[in-house]
This record gives sequence, C-alpha cells and structure tokens, in this order.
Amino acid sequence: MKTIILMLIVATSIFAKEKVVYKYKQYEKFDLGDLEIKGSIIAPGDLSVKERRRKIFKRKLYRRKDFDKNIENDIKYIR
Amino acid sequence: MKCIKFILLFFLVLSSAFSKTSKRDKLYVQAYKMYKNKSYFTALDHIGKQYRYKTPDRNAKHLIEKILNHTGTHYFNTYGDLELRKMNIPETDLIMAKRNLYLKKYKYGIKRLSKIPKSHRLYPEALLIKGSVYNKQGKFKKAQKAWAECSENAEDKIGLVREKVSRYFTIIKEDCTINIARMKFKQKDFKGALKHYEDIPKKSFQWPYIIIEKAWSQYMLGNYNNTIGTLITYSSPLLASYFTPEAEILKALSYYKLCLYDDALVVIENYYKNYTPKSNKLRSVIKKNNSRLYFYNLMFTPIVDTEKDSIFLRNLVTQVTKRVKFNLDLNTLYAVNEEIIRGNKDSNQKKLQSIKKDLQEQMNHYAKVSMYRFINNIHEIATEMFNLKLEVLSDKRNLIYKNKIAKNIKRGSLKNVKRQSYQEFWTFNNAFWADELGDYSLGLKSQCSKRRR
Repeated sequence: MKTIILMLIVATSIFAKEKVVYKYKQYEKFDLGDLEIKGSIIAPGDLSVKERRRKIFKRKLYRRKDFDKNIENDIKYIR
Repeated sequence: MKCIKFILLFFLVLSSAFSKTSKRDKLYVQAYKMYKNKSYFTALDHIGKQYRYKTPDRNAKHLIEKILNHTGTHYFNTYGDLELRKMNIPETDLIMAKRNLYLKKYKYGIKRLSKIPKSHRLYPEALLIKGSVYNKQGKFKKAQKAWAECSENAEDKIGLVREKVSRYFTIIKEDCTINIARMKFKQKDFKGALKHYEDIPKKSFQWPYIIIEKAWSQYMLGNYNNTIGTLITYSSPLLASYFTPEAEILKALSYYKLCLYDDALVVIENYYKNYTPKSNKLRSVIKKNNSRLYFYNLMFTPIVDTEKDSIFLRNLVTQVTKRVKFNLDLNTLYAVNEEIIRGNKDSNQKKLQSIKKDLQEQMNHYAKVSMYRFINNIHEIATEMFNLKLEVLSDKRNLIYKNKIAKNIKRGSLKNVKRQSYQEFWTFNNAFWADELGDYSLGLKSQCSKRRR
C-alpha cells in the first residue's frame, strides 16, 4: 500500500508542468519626430464640406385630367 | 269524378284569367278616355298602377308612351329597378340605364340602352348615355362611335319636330360633340379636343360652359397666352351671369407658367377679394333657409328683389334656371297645375297634388344642390390657389437669392401670339367685338428663359 502511494506521488511530481514566468520590457523609448510615414495627402488642408445638389421641392399644382364628371353631370342636367 | 274536378278547375282558372284580362281591358279603356280628356297625369297613374309588376301588352305600352309625351318621365322616378324592368318601355329603359351608369353597373346599362329602337325619339339620348358608359369603361373607339351617331341622329330629328322639342335635340347633339372633345382631352389629344370644341356655335346655350374646357386644352398644349385670352371672355358683360372659380386658377397657373409671378399673384389676390364675399353671401342664404321650398321660391323671386339682395345671387339663380332639367321639370309642373285647374271629373286631385308637391321638392333640391356645389367649388379652388401662391412665392424668393429679378420687362408682342392658319388677327386697340368672344389671345412674353433655374 505504501508503495502504491509513493508511486502516485512520484508520478504526479513527474507529470506536473514547470511554472513559466514571462517578463515584458520594463522601458521602451519612442522618438515621434524620427518617425517617417510614406504616402500622399488626399484631403484639403482646411476643413470643408463638399457642395451637393440641393433637392428642389415642387408642390403638386392643380391640373385637370379629364372631364368625366362634366359628362355625367350633363346627363343629369337633361332630365 | 276526377275528370269532372279537373274540368271545373280548368274553367275556374280560365274564368279568372279572363276576368283579369277584362279588368285590364276596362282599365285601359278608362285610361284612354282620361287621356282623351287631357287628364294625362291621372291617366298615367291609372294605367301605370296596373303594370307595376307585369309587362304591359302592346296596346298599353303604346298608350303609356303617348301619355308620357305630355307628362314627361318624372312619374317613373320613384319606381324601383324591378318595376322599371317589368315596364319594359324605352322611357323606363333609359331611366334604368342612367341608374346603372351612376352605380357603375356598365354591362347592365348597355343592355338596357340596346333595347331602345333606332326610330324612337329617345334614341339620341340613349346614345349619349351609351357613349358615356363606354368612356367610363375606357372603350374610347366605341364611345366616339356612339357619340358621333348620337350627334347625327339628333341633327336629323331637329328639323322634324316643333321648336321646343327641337331645342332638346340641339342640346343632345351638342352634348355628344362636346363629349367627343372631352374624350380627346382625356386621351391627351388636345388639338383634337380643340377641333371638336370649335364645332359648338357661340350662340349655343352650352358655349359659355365649354370656354373653360377649351382653355384647359390650350393650357395643356403650352399655349398660355391663348389660355388667358380665352378665359378673358368670362369678363365680357354678355357673360356676367357665368362665373367659374376654376377659370381663375387656370389664369393664375398660365401666368405662373409664363414666369410672370406678379401677375399670377394679382389673380390669386383678386380671387380671394371677389369670392370671399360671394361665398359668405351664399353661406348666409343657405343658413337662413327655413322654409321647405326656400330654394324653389328663390328661383321665382322677381329679378329686382334678388338683385337688391345680391347681384351675384341673382346670377347664380339665372344659371340654375337656364338648365334643361329645371325647365323640363317646370314644364311638367305647369302641366300638373293645368290639370288641377281644369278639374275634370275623372281627374285624381289627390294624386295630382302629391305629384305637384313631389315636383316642387325635386326642383328645390336641384337648386339647393347647385348652390352647395358652387360654394364647395369656391373652397376647393381657394385651397388650390393657396398652394399655387406658395409655389409662386417660393420661385420669387429663389430669384431674389440669385439676384435675377428682371427689370423693364417687355409686356408683350404680336410675335408671341400663336394662331391657326384659319384664324385672323385683330389688335383690339380700343375695341371690343362681341362676335370675337372666346377667340382672344394675349401676346405676353414668357420670362422663363431669364428666370427659371
């Protein structure tokens, strides 16, 4: 019995992973003035809104499509 | 025993049938006597009652038609569809066809109208209705054919009848011609419409009413100077009793289309100035109508008295009294009165009084509806005018923003007058010719090339 327990302890100690500790750089320096970005400028220098075509609202004006009502009324006016 | 029973039953049925026939024959003879005694309305009621649910025989139909020549068709207005169908004479077929047209039962309308024989005096009127049914259905070729035939048939009948009846056929003929023009307008054939409107003589009773329709055709063709010129006709003293609020908006629209915004605004302002008091007056008239026959009585008030109250009201009354329906009803009323006064022994005075009362109420209703229709029209157009005013103001504002207000606008030139090859030209400087009514044109120069965005 003692042998079995001993084997188990030994086995677990063998299979247990080793604890790894990562360490980041504690200090890093950026020189922004020294940075160089390649590309071309596409926006204008100052702020602006592009002029768009304004929607022109038109009211629906009075318009005659037919005289069907007059045709019916003329029949009514006869008798 | 069975055989005897059968024979007895047979004779019983036969005798009852004979008694019914003989009763009808007796009534026919009585009605015919009444007709000969000039008790037309009593005769019509006497024979009409017998055939409410049974089709009359040939003789009875013939007599009913003869009586109707004197009474008009007013008597059948209260009949239901079933009763009218049973009566089966052209007059009732026509009434049914009209009902079917208003109820949009076009198929049945055509069926009824096709029953009226070509030789019958109501045939042109039947064609007028038939064309209208086809027009509603969008069957324009058939509509044109019916109206063209109506016009020809009515024309043929004009010379064959006495003057009063010939006036009826003239109106039918003109109605059919005008309807062809209206149909062309609906089909957007505005030149074709104008051509048919030109066929209506200026002396015609209908002519003042079609000026506005002619002007619409001109407007749709883009001839705005002609539109305004045509509408100026309503300003003539000869047409003082005719006023159509729609003419005002059409005038304003034409000025707007010519980009003459100030002129359009003047027309709009004048509309409110002129029609507000008219509308108020009419409203007060409608409000104070207490008596049952107020509008009927108004039609018979002496001109001087109505004019005192308002010239506008007098003119409106004139418009109503000139209508054919009003005059036909009036003739019927006179005929009923005549029969009441004549007081024949065989006349049914109670029935005559009831017909008279019914006719008066009908005429009162007709006048009332005409006035209500007019006041509603004023308000409808006022709304449209307001809409147009906003549009004019908006366009004017845009001009100010763009600094495009034209100065020293040239008002007009003969170059801007569009005319047909058959139309002559006269400047009308200090002149006013009555026979040129309806053919005026302005020579205003459109400002749109300068002004429109």
